Amino acid sequence: MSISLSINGQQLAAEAGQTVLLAARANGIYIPTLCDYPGLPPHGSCRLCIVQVKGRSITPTACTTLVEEGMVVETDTPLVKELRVEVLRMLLAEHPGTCLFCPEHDHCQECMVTLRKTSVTTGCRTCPADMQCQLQDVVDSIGLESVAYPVRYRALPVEREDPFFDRDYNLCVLCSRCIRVCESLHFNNILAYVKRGSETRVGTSFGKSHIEVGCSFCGACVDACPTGALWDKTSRWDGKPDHTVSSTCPFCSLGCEVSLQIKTNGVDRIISCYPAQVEKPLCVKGRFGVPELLDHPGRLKTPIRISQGEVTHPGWEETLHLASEKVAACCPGEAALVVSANCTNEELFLADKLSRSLTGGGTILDAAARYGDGIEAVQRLLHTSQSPNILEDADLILCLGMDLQYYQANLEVFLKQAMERGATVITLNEKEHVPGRYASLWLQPGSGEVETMLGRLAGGLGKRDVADAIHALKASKNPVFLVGDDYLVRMAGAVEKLVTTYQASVVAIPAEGNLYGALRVATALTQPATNPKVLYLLGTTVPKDIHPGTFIIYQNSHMPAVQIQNGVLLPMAAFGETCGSVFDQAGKLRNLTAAVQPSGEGLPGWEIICRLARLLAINGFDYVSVNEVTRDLVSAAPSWQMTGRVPGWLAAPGGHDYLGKPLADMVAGLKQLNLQVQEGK
Amino acid sequence: MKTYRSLVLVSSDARSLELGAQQVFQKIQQEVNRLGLDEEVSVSMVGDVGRHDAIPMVIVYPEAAIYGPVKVEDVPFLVEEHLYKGRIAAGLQASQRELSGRIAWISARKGTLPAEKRVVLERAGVIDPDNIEDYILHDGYQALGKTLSEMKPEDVLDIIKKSGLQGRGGAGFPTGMKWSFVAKAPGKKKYVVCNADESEPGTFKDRLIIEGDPHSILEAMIIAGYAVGATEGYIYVRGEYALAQTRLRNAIQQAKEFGFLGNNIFDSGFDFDIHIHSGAGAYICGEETALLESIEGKRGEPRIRPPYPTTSGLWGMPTLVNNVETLANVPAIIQHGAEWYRSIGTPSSPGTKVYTILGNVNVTGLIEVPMGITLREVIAIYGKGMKEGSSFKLAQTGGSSGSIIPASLQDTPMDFDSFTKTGVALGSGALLICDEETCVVDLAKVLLQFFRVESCGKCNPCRIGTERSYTILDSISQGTGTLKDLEDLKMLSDKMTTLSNCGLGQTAGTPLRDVMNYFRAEVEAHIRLKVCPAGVCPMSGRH
Amino acid sequence: MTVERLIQSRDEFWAAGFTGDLAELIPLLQYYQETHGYISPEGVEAIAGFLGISEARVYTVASFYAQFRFQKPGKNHVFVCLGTACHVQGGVDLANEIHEHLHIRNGETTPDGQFDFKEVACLGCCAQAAVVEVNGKIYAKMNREKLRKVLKEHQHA
Repeated sequence: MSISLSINGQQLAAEAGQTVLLAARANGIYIPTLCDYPGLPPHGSCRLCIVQVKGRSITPTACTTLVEEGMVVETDTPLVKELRVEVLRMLLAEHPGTCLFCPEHDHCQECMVTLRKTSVTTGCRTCPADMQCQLQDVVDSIGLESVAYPVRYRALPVEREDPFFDRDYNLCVLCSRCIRVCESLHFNNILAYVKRGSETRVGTSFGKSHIEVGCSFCGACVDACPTGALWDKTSRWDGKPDHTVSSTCPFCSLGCEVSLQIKTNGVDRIISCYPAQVEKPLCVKGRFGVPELLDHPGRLKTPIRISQGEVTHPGWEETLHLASEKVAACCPGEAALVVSANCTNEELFLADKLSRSLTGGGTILDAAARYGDGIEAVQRLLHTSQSPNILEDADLILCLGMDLQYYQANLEVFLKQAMERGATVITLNEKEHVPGRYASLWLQPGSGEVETMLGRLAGGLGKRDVADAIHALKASKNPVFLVGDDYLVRMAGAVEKLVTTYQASVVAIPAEGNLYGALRVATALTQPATNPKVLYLLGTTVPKDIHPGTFIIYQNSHMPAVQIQNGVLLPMAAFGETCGSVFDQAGKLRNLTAAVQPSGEGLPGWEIICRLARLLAINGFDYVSVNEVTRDLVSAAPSWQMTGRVPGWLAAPGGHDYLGKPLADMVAGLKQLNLQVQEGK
Repeated sequence: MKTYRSLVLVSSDARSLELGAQQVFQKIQQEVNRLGLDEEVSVSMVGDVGRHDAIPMVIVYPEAAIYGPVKVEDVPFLVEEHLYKGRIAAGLQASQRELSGRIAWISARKGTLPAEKRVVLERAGVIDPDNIEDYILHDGYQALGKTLSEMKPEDVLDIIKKSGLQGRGGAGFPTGMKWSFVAKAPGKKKYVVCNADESEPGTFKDRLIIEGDPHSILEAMIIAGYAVGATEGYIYVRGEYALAQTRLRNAIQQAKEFGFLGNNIFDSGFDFDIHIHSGAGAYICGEETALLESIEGKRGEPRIRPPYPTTSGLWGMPTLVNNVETLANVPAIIQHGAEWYRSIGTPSSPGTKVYTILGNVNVTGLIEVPMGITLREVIAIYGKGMKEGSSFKLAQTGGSSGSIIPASLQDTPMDFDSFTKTGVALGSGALLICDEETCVVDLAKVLLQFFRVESCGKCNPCRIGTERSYTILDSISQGTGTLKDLEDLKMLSDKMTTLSNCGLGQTAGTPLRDVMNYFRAEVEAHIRLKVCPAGVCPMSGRH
Repeated sequence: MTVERLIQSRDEFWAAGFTGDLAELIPLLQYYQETHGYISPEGVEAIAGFLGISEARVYTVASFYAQFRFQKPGKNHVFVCLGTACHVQGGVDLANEIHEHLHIRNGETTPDGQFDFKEVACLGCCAQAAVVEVNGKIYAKMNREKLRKVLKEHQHA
């Protein structure tokens, strides 16, 4: 139902149930606020959004006042302005404010450089949020020019012991956005108000570290913070980004939309990675992994030739030439091409095309070694896998081998909403995990008995908990199975059988960023030479069991972990440095954007393959842009035919790798989380 | 029911119990038994008797002889003299000089004082609060019987509306209206909540009502439940009130045994149950929405209104929240009718009001008087005047959120209407009477200190405003204040009132405003002359 | 906290009549303080585990209400009332006396574990101002000298 009201004399239409604040915003009328945040219910604590409503003696807050037919609202009267100024003056009695009112305000950006690296923000330009602080914006919009009351600096120590973000509650304005966003996304609060009255703070239980109290480090609280109180460690001193670019998170198959924050002082650099929409947060990998991955000292920056362990830097031309010569010298079956399930569709498509011309067979997918015999079941599961959005309509969600403690923690919001609307959430996992503690039912098989339990569930026979689960599954009209990486790897067959039994919808979430693409594009897993003479590794790790004489073409964004004796290293553009596409776990095509230049002399992966193919005089590699490759691969018939045996020398990658290297090796905080998991188990 | 020749009441408020009231009570029973008087004499523990100067106190009816403080070793003599030989036990009587509260009421019956009027405290101090039969004997649960057997819910709403009863928690909202809001609100389940959080410093009327007459609250809640269609009740009792909680628990148990609580009360088909929730020490939980949050197991942060509790209260259901004193009026109104109730007090504020008199008067304690009595009367009649050598400077009403009333306003009738007109607040019924030795800066400082600790901390104007005001007052009291501070204080008090979300923030500025309105010269003396006229503030060297 | 400990405290809460409903949070905290003397980090963990909520969700409530202590209490509990009536009669003096005499501030316990001290807003005995409560016993119309005497009594007791 539409409601008509007037704001500042402007006649507007609004939805029934909408707040005055949102109605005004939808019509381009600005009302300052600090505690309002998209997707969260009104809080009414900052009191900045007060307005006047004709016929009311009080000045209500716009965020808590619902629109009414014929309402006459004024947002900018002298009274409202006066009150707002006073709220702001009070707020600034709790918040360092020299960045706002210093007479040198406009000049210090260029002058004060060295002061930046201080850990405590006292109000000068040392604040990480400087120039991107919503409090600054509000002060500007209201036009406040001086503080009224002396600042009561809280003198709290900055909390730095946790990975990924620092917390300086001296800058906190107690808007509770962090608290509420945590509550709305996860099942619990990591942060909450502590104490009361003038001692009120935001904090954890007994001031424990976030890692200790089970924070998933999704970073939604950091995104929600209007000031510099919560801030990424990596971008604390980078200042305001110059522009942002949207892309897709490459670190798992969910394909979350991200917004890359770019700084262009001299060299383009991605300083942080935010969720594209605040309502759809990322997990720790996407939110905090990107800058460290890209800035890692192990980046491969120039083409390298290695001969008998001796390293030279001959430049692109010569290196590629050498590689093509080695490939050309091979008989069919003597060369093998291994690709990673983290590669883009374009890289996979071109590699497959190249492999067919050279060997007559398709590429070898490194992940096949991980899935082993289950790869066929995984293919079928993934082929029918749907988007997590279908969880919104499920009356029963069965989590199989999911652990949302850190990775993919952003899926928790679906479980939370499901529980709130009364749906059943059953989780099957032998280990302590999320959502074990809050699920309606936690089926906990003994170690090594998972498949037996899956069998019992499928067979419809079981005792106690299993019987309850079977009962719930049978009663469910719309069951959805959320299948995690762990069980896809270990028992895809048993999972598939269970899915068929209950005719459930499947949301399968492999850890690899583009497994769907790899299975769709790549055609076959053939049996190649037991000891290939030339091994082309596209984004994969160097197999340990390979013959030392093998010539290795190592195309990657980072240096190999293992010393190569003979071969070439080709620096490839990493995520954020090259365009391309991936398929998410539901088969939706998602675009990756080139936000910055590749590191060093790196080139996009598709371009390297094309150049090599052209040197080999193979037709069909005359692409001039990545879009042409994308067009070809989309129109090509999907394969879904990964069969055959995995070669014995093929090394299985880890689940949370990026191009053959564990992400935790490149992102220090993730390593800290891994240790936490190990300690916990 | 037996009739007794004599009725012996032993005071049993928390303080009396600490001083050995229990032992005194047992000793009296022993002595009565020893002398074979147990058929003729009833001995009961009662609640607070309204004065604390001579406790444990023993009152013997029908003579209304008051003994105190009574020690265990006094008991044999007392029992023998008064109950056996029938004459006043000389030397044990409490001094007649300090009359107040309940004692004042007893004397009023004898015509020595202008009448205190007792409605809500009628039985407190007369009956044994741990004995439901005693309550029933004193007309208890008659109103409930009448309600369930003769009245429809609408009739109850009607009579409460017509009585003109207003909420006694401080705001004075018409009770009948609140009841009908809840009755009209749609909801699968409805609740009646009794607000016994009573955290206003200086106020302890609710405690005395509960300790002295717990069943009256239960009866009122059941009636309210019937009227609004609620089936469950909560009593939110301040955590510190251990005795009140014990008495209520006991009363609920007894009421269940007698069939006043539970399913199908009196065969009427009406079910009602009452739970007790013990508060955990937060002033803000006296605010009704914060109180509901607290019952739900959350921080006591006031909710955003609307929706009001009447439509969306406890667990989102329509909820009636009433103060103890408000509820305590209900059974009497049902029993005697709206007309009778309106005959007490003033036309705009019918009924009585319970006050606690504190401070520099000769007699401190509890009184229940008709609405509309003036402050001057309270001080002169019930307070027995100011203490010797001191003169009245100001009164602080209603605990912390009340007003500071200067001498010039002491003839204003104390009722909701008149007070609103003069711009002061009646509040919860505490009257702190202060003499010339009280410094207004110091008084305001302690009030703001209270608010800055008790603010829930959620909304900015209240959290920061109370903190800032306190700091400014502190600096004025240290002799380092400036004239700009006065402007700041005025600004802060005004804006806290306008901008805060709930009653705490909205009233936290009241003492500041009153001080500026009535005592500006004294504050300025602190700033301009660096002198505290009352000689209290630290700069005068007293601390 | 180990799973065994969680189960143990869960059984204890069950035995005390709690069901695990969220509305029981404050009663649970009250129960825990009564049985353990104060709210320890382990207590918060146990309650959080029992109700299936986060520790912060328990702690935020516990730290809101003045009733809850987070330090191991002393042998004797001293409360000084700073309500309006007591303030007028010198309540602050009494609090300062504690501070100067026992060297502890509001909410703290003496190092020897003899006394803990808390300032309270009102003990509901305003007619007896200024009031100090020691171990549940009210001491009326106090001043510094009287308080010192009371403290001495308890120290030796």
